[in-house]
Amino acid sequence: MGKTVLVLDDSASVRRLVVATLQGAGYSVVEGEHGAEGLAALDRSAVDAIVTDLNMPVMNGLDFVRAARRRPANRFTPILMLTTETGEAKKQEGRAAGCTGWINKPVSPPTLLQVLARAVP
Amino acid sequence: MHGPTLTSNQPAVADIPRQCLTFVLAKEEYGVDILRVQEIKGFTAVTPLPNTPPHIRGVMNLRGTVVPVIDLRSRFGMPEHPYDKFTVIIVLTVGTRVVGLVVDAVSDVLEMADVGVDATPDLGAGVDTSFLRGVCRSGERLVMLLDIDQVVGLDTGR
Amino acid sequence: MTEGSPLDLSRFLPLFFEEAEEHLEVLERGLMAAESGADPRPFIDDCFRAAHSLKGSAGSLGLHIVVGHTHVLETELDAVRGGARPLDRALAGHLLVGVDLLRRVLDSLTAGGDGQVEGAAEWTHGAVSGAVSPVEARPEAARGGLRLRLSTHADTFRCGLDPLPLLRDLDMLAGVVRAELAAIPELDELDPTTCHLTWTLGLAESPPPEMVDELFGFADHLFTVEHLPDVADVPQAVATPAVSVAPGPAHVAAPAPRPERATLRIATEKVDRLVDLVGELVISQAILGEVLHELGQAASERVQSAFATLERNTREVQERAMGIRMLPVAMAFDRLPRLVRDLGERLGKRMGVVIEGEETELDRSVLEHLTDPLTHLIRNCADHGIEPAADREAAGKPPVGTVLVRAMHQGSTVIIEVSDDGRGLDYARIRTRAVERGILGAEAALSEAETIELLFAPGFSTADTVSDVSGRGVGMDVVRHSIEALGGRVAMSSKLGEGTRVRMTFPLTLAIVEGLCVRVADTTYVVPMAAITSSFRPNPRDLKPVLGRGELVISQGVQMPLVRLSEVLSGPPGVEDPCRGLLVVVQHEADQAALLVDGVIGSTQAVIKNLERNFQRVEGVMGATILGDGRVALVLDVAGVLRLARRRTGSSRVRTSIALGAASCTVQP
Repeated sequence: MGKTVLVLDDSASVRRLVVATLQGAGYSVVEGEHGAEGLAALDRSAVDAIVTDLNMPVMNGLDFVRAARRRPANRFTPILMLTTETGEAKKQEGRAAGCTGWINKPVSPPTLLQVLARAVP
Repeated sequence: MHGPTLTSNQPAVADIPRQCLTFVLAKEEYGVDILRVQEIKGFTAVTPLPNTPPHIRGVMNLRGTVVPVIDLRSRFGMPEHPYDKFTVIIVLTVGTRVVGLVVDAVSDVLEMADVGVDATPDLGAGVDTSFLRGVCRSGERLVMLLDIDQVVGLDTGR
Repeated sequence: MTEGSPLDLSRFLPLFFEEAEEHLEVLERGLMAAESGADPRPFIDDCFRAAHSLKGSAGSLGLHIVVGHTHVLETELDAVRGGARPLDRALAGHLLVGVDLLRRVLDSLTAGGDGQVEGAAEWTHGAVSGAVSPVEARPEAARGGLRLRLSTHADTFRCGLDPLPLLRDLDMLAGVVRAELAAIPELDELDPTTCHLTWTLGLAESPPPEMVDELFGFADHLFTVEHLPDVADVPQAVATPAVSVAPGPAHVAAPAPRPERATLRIATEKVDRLVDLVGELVISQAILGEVLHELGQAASERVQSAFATLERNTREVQERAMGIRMLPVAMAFDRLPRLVRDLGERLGKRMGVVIEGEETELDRSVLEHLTDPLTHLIRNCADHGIEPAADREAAGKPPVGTVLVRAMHQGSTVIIEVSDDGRGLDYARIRTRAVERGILGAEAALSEAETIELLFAPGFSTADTVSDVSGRGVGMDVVRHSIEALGGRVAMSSKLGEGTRVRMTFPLTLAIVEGLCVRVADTTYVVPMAAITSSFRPNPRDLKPVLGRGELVISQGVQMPLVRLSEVLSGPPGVEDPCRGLLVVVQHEADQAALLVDGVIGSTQAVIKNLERNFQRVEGVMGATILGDGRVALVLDVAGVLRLARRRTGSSRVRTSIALGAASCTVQP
């Protein structure tokens, strides 16, 4: 059974790549351009995992994670951050917010699938 | 006993082996594709099989394989001839099977490139022409090329 | 998280398997060249790349079992590539074994299996500790393994990460996983969303840093990996008590040391050739035995005792070789549920199948020919045995009929039974039918067993509406024929209203028959020991010629036909007077007969060679065997011999009538 993944990124091209990769691997995808759209999407759909950009307009990635973790349904939903920022400070911040894992940009489809498979057993 | 009469202006026979082992049977010379020949061995004792036609002489032990032995004279309805020191068993492969043929004696290996092959005319030979694939002439000699599959046809002769 | 992961990556799999096959071929070519002693250098880069890309693509598809396996190959080849160790024959051979196993892992995955292949895990783990010990050549690697300490951050669960699947992936690399429990607070203080777990992992295989990174790197804000220096106190391959760790129901434990039981896939021709050769060996040994016997005292004791050892070893080799040919009957049973379902649908009856003993092993050549008779029997059950649901309910039976197919061992035989809980045989109607068809005289009084024999009669089976007589019998003669051709026997029993059972009995292996060598004139025959009940030299008063029906003999109060083997088998004539020869009493089902032979030579283990291979089946003969002196002897098929004998004496088709003295039953020829 295909699992559902929420994909958030303000870059249409990154989104398209991620969505195509996930759909190609049999996942169902819901998408949004920023965190606020993401929260709206979580209202509508039950998701098994979230892949989100860090820097987005309207509501950035970390704010989105904090908000999502406050929702009982998404308290333990794996959330993977797509980012170019790999600094230790950012990761500390991410852990406090509740990020599950990190995927470096540029996104390599195999790595994306591999990490997703680890985070969403 | 004789098959349909063919005239010698029939087209030459296709699929002729490159070399033939020839042997003697009732003073006539016959040939088989040498690629079919596995070995030639002196006549050895065979174990008769119950309720089989007379030309099935029995089975012999060929290095651990049990091989049926067919007496060609008997197969062709020729008069019996006591086995002597020239009598040999030609061991042939027929499809996936191995069979032994008892013949009077082996005589030669014939290079088929050197001889002409005709379709089988009715030579009045002692052999049903349906067993023959053709006749080759080599100088004075006439060698009848056997269709081994027909000869061995294991369901025959009951 | 293993291959059981619910991700649907399946659409990529066909392509992956195709690529994998190419990589495997590259690996095989290179390693085989190296194994054969060729300079491996030109191949090493290709091999390494093949292993590397295989691992990469397997990883992206979540095929961790393949990753673990290719990782070992990659590491070894990398060491070779870097000049750290030579790709000698031993290493190449070892890696080839790994490639073979990998192929089987992939085969399993291709077939939708879980990729668990016997020996694969051992290979991955043993790659280091095995005789080849490639690790020694890697200076940077810790000898004998590596110890990692893996700590999780308290926030791990709150960050939505379940560390367990990752541990399992690491666990696949081997070794011992130990949870450090000290940090876990008392239950009343425990916050289930706070993670307190730390593990120590003893790995037989040292994962390279990138492997660990690949596993945990994406969540390095939650995991801390420390390399522990000393390895000495890590118990290797010792099962530590399994410790259950939260969350989730799964547990992490050291893989129990599995017994070394690798399997090999071997071409059947190779096995058959081996079995043939073992047959030759048995024959050579028999010849040697005969020579020694002739030498008698002249052969020294040492030779005699060496021969005794050889004999023992030969027998064991023979048994082992025969064992290779044995396969579980599941092979023949697998399609039966489908068959029963289809038949039920077609006939509009409700029925199910119960299969028992499918792990029972049987000679491959029997199994291969079992399908048709089994199909036949099951069709009979469905067609004639099982009643329509309404009838069944009216008879107080469950509406769904059951076909029971079971296999079991019994002594040196394997029994396969097909039975149903259907309407059973109506003996009276079968008899009526036989009388109508002129097979049986109107006044004949047959027992149930004799009536069943009618169903096996060739004439009977072609009856147009056999189901009229609640009939079995459709093709039962065909079934009997094919089972006997396989060296087996068939028997049927039935109770009206309760069901019918057909029991087939096969020798464990067809290739060897325990037999008695008998002599008729100068010909030797082998009579299977299983068919022999006794042998004796008759007195004239035991003999009783029956006009036009051959001869009868009385043995221990039982009257039976006397069969002159030389006549039945059209061989050279043997002794004329039975009182000067020997009678070997044989039994086949209800039939008994006394075979007249000149004498008995002795018992033998006959390695059977079938006659069909180069000739055709000969009635009365099960096969041939090669005697100690190199001659061929025929092994008799007792059922066939009795059939031939009956035909000669022109007696009835009801075979039992003669054995019973023909007193109770009038038979029309």
